[in-house]
Amino acid sequence: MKKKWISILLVVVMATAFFTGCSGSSEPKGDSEKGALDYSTIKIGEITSLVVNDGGWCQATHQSLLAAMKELGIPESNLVVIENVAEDQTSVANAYNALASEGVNLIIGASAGYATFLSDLAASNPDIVVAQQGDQVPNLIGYQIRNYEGMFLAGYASALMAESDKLGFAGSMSEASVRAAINGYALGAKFANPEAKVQLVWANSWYDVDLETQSAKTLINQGIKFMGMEASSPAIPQTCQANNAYCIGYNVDMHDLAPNAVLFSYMWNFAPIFKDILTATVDGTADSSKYYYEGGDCAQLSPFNDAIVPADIQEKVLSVKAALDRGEIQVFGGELKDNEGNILVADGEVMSDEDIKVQKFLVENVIGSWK
Amino acid sequence: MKIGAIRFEKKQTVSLSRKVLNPVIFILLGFVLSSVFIMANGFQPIPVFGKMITYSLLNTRGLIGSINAALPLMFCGLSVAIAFKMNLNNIGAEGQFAMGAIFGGAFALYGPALPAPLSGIVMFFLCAIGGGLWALIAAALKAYWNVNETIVTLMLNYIALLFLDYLCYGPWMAPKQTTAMTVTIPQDMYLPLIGGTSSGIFLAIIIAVLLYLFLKYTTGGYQISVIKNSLRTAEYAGIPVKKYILIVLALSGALAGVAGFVQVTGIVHRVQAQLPGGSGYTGIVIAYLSQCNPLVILLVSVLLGALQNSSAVVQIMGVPSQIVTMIQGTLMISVIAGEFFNRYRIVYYKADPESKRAEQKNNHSEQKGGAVQ
Repeated sequence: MKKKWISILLVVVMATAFFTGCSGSSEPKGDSEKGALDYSTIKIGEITSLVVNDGGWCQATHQSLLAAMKELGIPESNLVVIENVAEDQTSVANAYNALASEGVNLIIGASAGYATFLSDLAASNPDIVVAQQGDQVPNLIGYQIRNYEGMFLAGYASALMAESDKLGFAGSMSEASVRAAINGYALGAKFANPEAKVQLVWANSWYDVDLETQSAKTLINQGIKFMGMEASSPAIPQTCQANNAYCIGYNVDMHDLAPNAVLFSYMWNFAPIFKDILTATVDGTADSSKYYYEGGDCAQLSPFNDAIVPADIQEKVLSVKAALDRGEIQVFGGELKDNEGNILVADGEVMSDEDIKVQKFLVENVIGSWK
Repeated sequence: MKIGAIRFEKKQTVSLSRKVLNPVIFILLGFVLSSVFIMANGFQPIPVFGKMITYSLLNTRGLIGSINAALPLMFCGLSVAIAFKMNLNNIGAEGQFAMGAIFGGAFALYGPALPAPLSGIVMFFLCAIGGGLWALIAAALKAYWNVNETIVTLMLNYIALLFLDYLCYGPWMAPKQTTAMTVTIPQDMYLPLIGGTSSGIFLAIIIAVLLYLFLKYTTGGYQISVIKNSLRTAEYAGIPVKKYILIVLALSGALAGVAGFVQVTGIVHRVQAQLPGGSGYTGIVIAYLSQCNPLVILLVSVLLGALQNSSAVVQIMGVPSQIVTMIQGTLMISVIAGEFFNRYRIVYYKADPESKRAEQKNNHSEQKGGAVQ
C-alpha cells in the first residue's frame, strides 16, 4: 500500500517537473518573438559546380556559408547542398526544383554560370530568395568580392620579398575577375617597387594540375622566384616548393600544401555577405535588386608563414591593408596605364566599379596579353 | 582435356512478357547492387530509392522536370535509332545537336524578323537542316568511299562542339556576360509551356509516331530492314543502298538537330556552349535499350530524364553527390546488361564434337546476318 502511494507521488512529482520544464524551455522562444529574430527555422540550399571540399572555390564558399550560419546560430542541418551541378539549364533547373520542393527559403548559386538560369527560375517563384555569385542579374541578389584588394597585398608582399624586379603570375582563364586579380597583383608590386614587372602565363583552364604545373615551371625557368596565382589546383604551390620558389596561395589557406613555399594565402571570405543575406531573408527584407561588391574583410588574408615572411614585411603588408580598408589607397586609381600605352584613368580619378568588373586590359607593368 | 565453357547465343524470338519483365528485374537488381554503396555510407536504401521515384515521377514539379530533361534525349534517341535500323552507327548526335542549334540560333538571333508562327517553323527546319547537313558529311564518305561512319560522326562531334564553343565565347557572346551564351532569342519564338512542361513533347510524340509508321508500314521502312538484315540481298533486289545511306543518316542528323530546336526554343531560350550536354551520347543508350522502337524511346527517355532529375533530391537527403553518381551508373549498367540478356542466352557446353558442330553452325548464322560494312 505504501509503495503504491510512493509511486503515485513520484508520478506527480515527475509530471510537475515535466510541465514546468516545458514552460521553462518555452520562455526563450517568447523572448525571440519579442526581440531578436528566430533563425532556427530558415532552410538554405547551396548549389555548387564541384564538391564542397574541392580545396578551392567551392570549399571557400561553403566554409564561408557555414561560418555565417554559425555566427547567427543556424544549425548546420538547416543547410542542404547540391554538388556537381553543371552550368546548363537542365541541371540548374533540377537542382532548383528539388530545393524548392524541399521548402528552402534561400538558395545560393555558387558559380557565376548559374546566373541566367536561376534568374529565369526565380522569376516564377518569388517566395524563395536567390543569391548568386558574379554579375548583377534580374531577380537575384548578386555578390562578388573585390579580389584585387587581396591580390594587391599579394603583389605588394611579393615585391618586398623579391630581390629581382621580375615577378610571376599564373592565371587560369582570361575572364574579367581573373584580369582584376592579375592587375591587382601587378599594381601592388608596383606600389612596393616602381620598377617591378609581372610576367604572366595562362593555363587556359579553370583547374588542371598538368597545365598549372607547366605555368609555374615556365615562370621558374625564367629565373622568377616569387609569383601570384589565380588558379585552383595544388600544382603551383607544390611546384614552387619543389623548385625553391615562392607563391601566394589562392582560394583557401594553401599553407599545408607547400609549407616552404606559400608566404600566405588570399582567401575568399563570403561570410559577411552571407550573414547579411541570411538576416535579410529571415526578417523579410531581402531585395533581389541588391548587389554586394565587397572588399575589406571579404578579400581576406590567411595568417603569414612566419618561417619565410620576416616580421617587418608582415607589418608593412598589414599597414597597407589597413590603408586599403580605410580607402586611402585606391587600387585602380589614376594615373593608370595599360600595357599597350593607353591611359585608362587620368591622374586624380578612380575607375568606376562598373569598369573594374568588366575590365579588358592589363596594367602597364604586366608582361603578357589578355586576349 | 577441356572441361567446358560458356558461350552466348543470340535468341531467335523473345516473348513480349519477357521483354517487359526483363528490364523490371534488372532495374530491381540495380537497386539491390546500389544498396551496397548506400548502406556502406550509412544510409537506408529504401527511403533513398523511394525519394528518387516519388520525386522524379510522382511529384508534379519533379515529373515536369523529368519530362523537360527527357525532351532532347527523345530526339537524340530517335536520331540514333533510325540509323541503327540500317546498321549505321551514328555516334554524332551530340555534334548534330550542336549544328542544329547553331543554324537555328543564327536565324533566331541574326536572321530576318518574321511573324510569329512562321519564324518558329523556319527555325525548326533550319535546325533540322543544320543537323542533317552535318550528318551528310559522314553519309557521303560512307556511301561513296566506304569510310567508317562511326569514326567520322564521332570526330565531327569535336568540330561541331568546338565551333559552338567558339561562337558562344566569341562573336555570339552576350555583352556583359561571363558565361558562354548568347542573348535570348525573340520572345515570340519561345515554344509555349503547358503547365510548366515544354510543348516540345507534342512534337516528340508526333515525330516518334510518324517514324514508327514509316518504319513499319512503308516500302522505305521495309527496304531499310532488308538492308539491315542482309546487305547483299538488298543489292540483289536492286535497293539503292547508297541513296538510303545518305537519306537515313541525313534524317538521323536532322532529328538530332531538332533536339537543338526544342532545347533552344523550349527550355534555354538562348544558344549556349554546353547546350547538348551529353544528350547525343545518352541517345545511343536510349536507342539500344528501346531496341530502336520509336514509341519505346519516348518512355525510356522519360525514365532516364527522371534518373538525371533525381540526383538533386537524393543529395538533399544528405547522400554525397559521388554516391548519387554511383547509384545512377549502377542502375544504367544493370539495365544495359539486362537488355543484353534479353537478346542472348548463356549456353554452358562441354568441349565435345557436338558442340563444335553447333559452334560452326552458329558462326555461319552470324555471317549471314552481316552488317552494312
